[in-house]
Amino acid sequence: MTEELPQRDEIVEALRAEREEALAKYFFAVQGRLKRIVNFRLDYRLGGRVSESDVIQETYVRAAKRIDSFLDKEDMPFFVWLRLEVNQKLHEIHRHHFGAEKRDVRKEMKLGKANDSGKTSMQLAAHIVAKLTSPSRLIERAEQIAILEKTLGEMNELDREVIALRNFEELSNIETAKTLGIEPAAASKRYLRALKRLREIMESAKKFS
Amino acid sequence: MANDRPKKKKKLSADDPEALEKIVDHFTSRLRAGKHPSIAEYQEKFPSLKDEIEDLLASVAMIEKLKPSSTSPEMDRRSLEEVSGLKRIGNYEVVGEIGRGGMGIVFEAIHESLGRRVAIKVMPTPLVNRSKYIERFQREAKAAAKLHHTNIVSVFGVGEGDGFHYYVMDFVDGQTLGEVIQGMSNSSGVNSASTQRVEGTRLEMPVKNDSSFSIDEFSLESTVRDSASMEGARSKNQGDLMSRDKLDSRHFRWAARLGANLADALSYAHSSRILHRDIKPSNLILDRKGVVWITDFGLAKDSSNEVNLTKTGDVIGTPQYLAPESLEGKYDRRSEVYCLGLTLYELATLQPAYAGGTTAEIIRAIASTSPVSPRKVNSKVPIDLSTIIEKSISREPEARYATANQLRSDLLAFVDGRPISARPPSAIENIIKWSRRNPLPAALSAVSALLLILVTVSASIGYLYTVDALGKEAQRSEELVEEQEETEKQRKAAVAAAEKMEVQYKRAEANIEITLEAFDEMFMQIVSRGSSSTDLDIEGFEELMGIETSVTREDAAFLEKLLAFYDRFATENEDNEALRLESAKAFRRAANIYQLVGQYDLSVEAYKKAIFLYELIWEQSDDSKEILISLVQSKSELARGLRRANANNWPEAVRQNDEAIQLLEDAPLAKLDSDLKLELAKTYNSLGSSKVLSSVLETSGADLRSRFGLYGFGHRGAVGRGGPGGPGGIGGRPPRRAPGESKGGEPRGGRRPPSGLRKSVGRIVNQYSRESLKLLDELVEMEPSNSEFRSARVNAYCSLAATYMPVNPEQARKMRALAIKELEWLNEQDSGNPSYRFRLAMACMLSDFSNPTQDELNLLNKSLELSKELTEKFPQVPDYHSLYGSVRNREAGVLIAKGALADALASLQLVDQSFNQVNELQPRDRFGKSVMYGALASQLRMLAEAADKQGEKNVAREARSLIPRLRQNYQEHERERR
Repeated sequence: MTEELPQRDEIVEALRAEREEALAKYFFAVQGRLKRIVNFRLDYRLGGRVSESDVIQETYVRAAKRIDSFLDKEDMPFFVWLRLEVNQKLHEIHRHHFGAEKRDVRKEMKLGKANDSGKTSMQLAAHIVAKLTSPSRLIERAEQIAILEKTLGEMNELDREVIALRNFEELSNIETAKTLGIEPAAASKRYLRALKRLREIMESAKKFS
Repeated sequence: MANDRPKKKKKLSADDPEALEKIVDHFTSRLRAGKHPSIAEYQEKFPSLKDEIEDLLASVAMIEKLKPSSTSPEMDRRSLEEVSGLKRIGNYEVVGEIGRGGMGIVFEAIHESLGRRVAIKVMPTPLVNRSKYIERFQREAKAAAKLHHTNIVSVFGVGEGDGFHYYVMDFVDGQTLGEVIQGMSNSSGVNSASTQRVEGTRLEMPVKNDSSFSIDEFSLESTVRDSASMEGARSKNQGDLMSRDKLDSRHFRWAARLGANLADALSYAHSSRILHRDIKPSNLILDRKGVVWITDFGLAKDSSNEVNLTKTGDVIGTPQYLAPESLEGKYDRRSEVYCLGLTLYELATLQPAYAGGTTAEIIRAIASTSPVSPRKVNSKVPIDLSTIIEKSISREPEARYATANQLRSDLLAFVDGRPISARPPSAIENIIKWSRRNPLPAALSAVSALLLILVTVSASIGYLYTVDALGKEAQRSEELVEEQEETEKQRKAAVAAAEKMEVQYKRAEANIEITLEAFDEMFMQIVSRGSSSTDLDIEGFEELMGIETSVTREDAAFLEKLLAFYDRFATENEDNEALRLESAKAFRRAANIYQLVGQYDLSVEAYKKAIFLYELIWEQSDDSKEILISLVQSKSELARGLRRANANNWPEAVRQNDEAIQLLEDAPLAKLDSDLKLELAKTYNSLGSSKVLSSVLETSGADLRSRFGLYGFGHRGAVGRGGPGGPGGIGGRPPRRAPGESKGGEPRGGRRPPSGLRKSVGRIVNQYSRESLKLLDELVEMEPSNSEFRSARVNAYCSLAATYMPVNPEQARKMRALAIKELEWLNEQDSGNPSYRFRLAMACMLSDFSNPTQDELNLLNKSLELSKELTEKFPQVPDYHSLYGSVRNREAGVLIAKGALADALASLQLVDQSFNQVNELQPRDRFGKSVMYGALASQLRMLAEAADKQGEKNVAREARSLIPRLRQNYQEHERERR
C-alpha cells in the first residue's frame, strides 16, 4: 500500500539532503491517504468548521518543523510517522475547538469517568452517518449501522482500533502493526480475530431480531 | 517496510500461515477497486478454510459497503453531468433545468406534438443490477400514476434512455414550501442563518469534493428557476403573505389550511397503500393560485438495498425531516404524520424544528431530543396549533395522530375555531412516557430520590452560606472583588446545576446518568474551587512537601451530604449488575470525599469496594480504556488513602501501586495511548511515595509519629531538625541529637535519619520518578502545549529534586529549576488558576535550607510572597494558610541559623497564626495537622535553645510559652485520630 513511496533509507537520505523539498514531494505522494485519515478522525462535531485540506496543510507545516523527529526514529516507516503527525495535529485542533469541554473531560478523567465507552465506535458510526447521503438510504442502512455500532461497542478498544486502521484508514498490516507498536503477525491475528468477532456478534444480533 | 515490497507472485496455499491475511487483503483490495468479488470463489479455492473465509470476508464486505466510498463520487458526478446535457427526452424537448436532487435532475420540457408542459425527473441508471432496478422503478411509477388528487402532482409516464431513466409529471408553476418559508423568514426578520439550511436541503446538490456547498450553485439554480417563468409568483400569490413583517392569526390559519390539504392528500395516498417516504418542504410546491402540491410521490427513494444508484455524492444537506423511528429502520403512515408535522412546525415558526450542525449532529438530535415547542419559538403561535404540531411530532409514533386524516380533522377544527382533540400532555403523562423510555431509574429507590431533592436544596443553602461569608470579606477589601465574582460565578453554576437537577427531577427527566452527572458536577465544583487541594493530581508530591490539603468546613458539610447520597446509592445498587459501573463510581466518589474530609479508614473501605466492582467490570469489559483508567486511578487513590490511614497499611499501598502499574503495562495500547501513558507516569510517581513510607517502616519499624522525621528532604528538613520524631518532640520524648550540633547552622546532617537509609529510600523514589519523567518527556515531546502533561511532569521534577537533594545537590537544583520553569509556564497559560502558584511556592521550597545560597534565599522569599498573596486572595482556603505557615516556619529556621532570633520569633508567631487559621477553617483533624504542630513546636524549641545560649531571655520565654498549647493541640488530635 505504500508503493508510491520509496524505501525508508532513500527517504531518509533525501530528507537529510533536501529537507523540506523532499518532504513536500513524499508528502504529496501520500496526501490522498492522509486525507482519508483526517476524514475519518476529524471529530464529526467540527462539521464544516475545519476542512480536511486545512488539517493536511497544518500537518505539513508541523511535519516540516519536525523532520528530525522522523530521522531520529529509526525503523519508523515514513507513512506511519506522517500518520502520527496527522493525529497530533487533529488532537490540537480538537483541543482548540473543544477547549472548554476538554477541560471538563480532564477534570473527569482525573477522578475517572467511564461511561463514554467506545470512542472509536462513536467515531465510526458518526463517520458513516455523516457521509451518508439521502435520508432514504440512511433509513435503509440505519439498521445495519445500528448493528455495526452495537457490535463495535461490544468489541474491545484494540480490536476496534485495528478495524478502524485497516478498513477505515486503509492501512496495510505492516503499517497497522507499526502504528500499534506490535508485531505484524500479532497485528494480523488481531485483525482476523476482530473480523471474526464482528461476524459472530452480527450473527447473534440477527438471530435476536 | 520491507514487507510492503511487491512480492513475487506465488501460488497461495492454505497451509501458508498468512493465508487468511492474504485472502482478506486480496478480497478487500478488489472490493475497493469497485469489483464484486464473491466469497464463494475464495471458498472454492481454499475448501479447508471455508468457514473462516465466510466469517472474515462477510465482515469485510459489510464494513466496506457501509463505509462511504472514496472512489465513486467522481463516477457519479460524471453520469449526472451527462444527464444534465440532455436536449431531448423521449418525445419531450428540454426547455430548462428546474432543479437538481441527489437522485437526479428535474427538467422543464414540452411535449413535441401536444405542446404540453411537463416536469421530467431524470436519473442516471445504475450499471449494476440494471434490469432489476428498472423493473422496480417502473412498478413504483405505475403505482404513483394511479394517484389522482388535487394536491398530488400526477405522474403520467416513465421511460428510459441511454444510461438514464425518467418519469414525467405535471408541471406545477410555483415555489417549493422551502422557498416560501425562506422568503417569509427573510422578510419577517427571523434569523436567516438557520433557514439557510432549508435552502440547502431543498436543492439536493451534488456534492463537491470537499462536501461544501457553493454559493454559485445556489444562485445559478435560482436564476434558472426565476427565468422559468417564476416571475410574479412572489409578488402576486404569496406576496401578501411574504411581505408581512409579523405573523398574525391569518398566517397560522393559512398554514393550518395548507397542512389540512396536505394531510388529506397523504390520507388518500395511504388509503391506496402508498407512502410518500420523503415529505418535506422542498417536496411540496405552492402554485400561483395558492394550491399546495405534493411532488415526487413514492418514487425513486432508492429504497433498494443492494443497488447503489449513486453510492455517494448525492447529498441531501441535512436529514432534518427524518422521523426518529426511521433511524431504527421503521417507517409507516405515522412517520409521514410526523414529517408533515415538522413541515407545519416550520410553516408556523419559520424555522426548522431541527437545524444546525452536521448530518451526524442532526441525527443525534433527532434520536435523542424533542424540538422546542413552537410556542417557545414564537409566542404568537396559537396554543391549539402548537398542540397539534407537538402531537404530530411526538417522538413515539403511538403518541401521534394515528392517521393523516385525524391530523387533518384537528387542523380544520383549529381553522374553524372549534375545540381540537389533541391536548397538551399532562405532567403525569410525561412521567409515564419518561419511565417507559428510561426503565433504569426505577432502580433508584424512592428514598434515594427523596434524598436527591434534599441534597439539592441543601447544596444551594450551603453555597449561599459560603458566599454570604465571602461577601462580608469582600466588603472589607475591595481587592477581593474579582475573586468574589469568581466565587459568585461558581456559586451560580452550582445553584444552576442544582436547579437543573431539581427541574429535571420534577419533570421526571432525570435518569441515573444525569443525576450522577449533576452530583459529579457539584463535587467537581468544590474540588476545583480555588484551592490546589483536591487536585488529586499532585499525587505524592504534597506528601513529600509535607503539606496537607483539605477543604473548608462548609464544603465538608456539603460533601458529607453528597457522600450520603453516593454511599446509599452504591450500597443499594451494589448487586445490581446493570448499575455496576454507576455503583463503582459512587463508591469511588464516596471514597474521594472520605479522603477529602480526612476519614481515611472509611475512604480505604470505600475504595476497596469501588475497586472490587471495577475489577469485575474490567474483566468483562474487553480492554476498555476508560474502565482501566478508572480502575488504576482508584488504586492510586487507595494507595494514597492507605498511606495516610495507618502505618501498617504502607506495604499494602505499595502493592496497590504495583498492581496499577502492572495493569497499565499489560494494557495493549499502553505505550501508544497518551492517556494510558500519562496514567502510568503518574502511578510511577505515586509508587515512589508509597515506597518511601514502606521502606521507612521496614527499616525502622517507625510508628505513625516518627515517619515525619524520616524525610530527609523537602521542607521536612525543618521538621527533621527535631530528629526522627519531630512531632515526637512535643510528645515528651527528648529529640535525639548528635552531640554538639545544635549550635547554629552547621552541621544538620546528623539530625536526620541515618544517611544510608535516606539514600536508599531516596534512590528508590528517584528511580520511579525518573521512569515517570521519561514517559512524561515523551508525552510532552508529542504535544508540547498540553498543560496536563506538563503539570504531571512538574511532579516528577519535584520528586526528583527532593530525592536528589541528599545525594546529588547539583542535580537536585537542576530539577528544582526545571520544576519552577515549568510551573511558571503553566501559570502563564492559565493565570487564573491559583493551583499553579500554590505549587510554585512549594517548588521554591525544595531545599533543606541547611546552608542556603543566595539563590535559595531568593526562592524562599518568592515562596513567601506567593503564599502570602494566596492567603490574601483566598482567605477561605486552609491550604494556603498551611502553606504560608510552612514557608514562614522555614524562614524562621534560616533566621535562627543566622542568629536573628527576634526576627525568627516574629516569623514563628506568624506561623502560629496561620496554623490557627487552618485549624479554624478545617473541619476535623487531618493527617497534616500533627505535622504542622510538630514542625512549629520543634522550631520553637530550637529557637528557645538558641536564645538561651545567646542570653535573649525574652525570646526564649516567648518561644517556650507557645509550646504547651501546641502540645495540647497535638495530643488532642492524636487522640481523635484513634
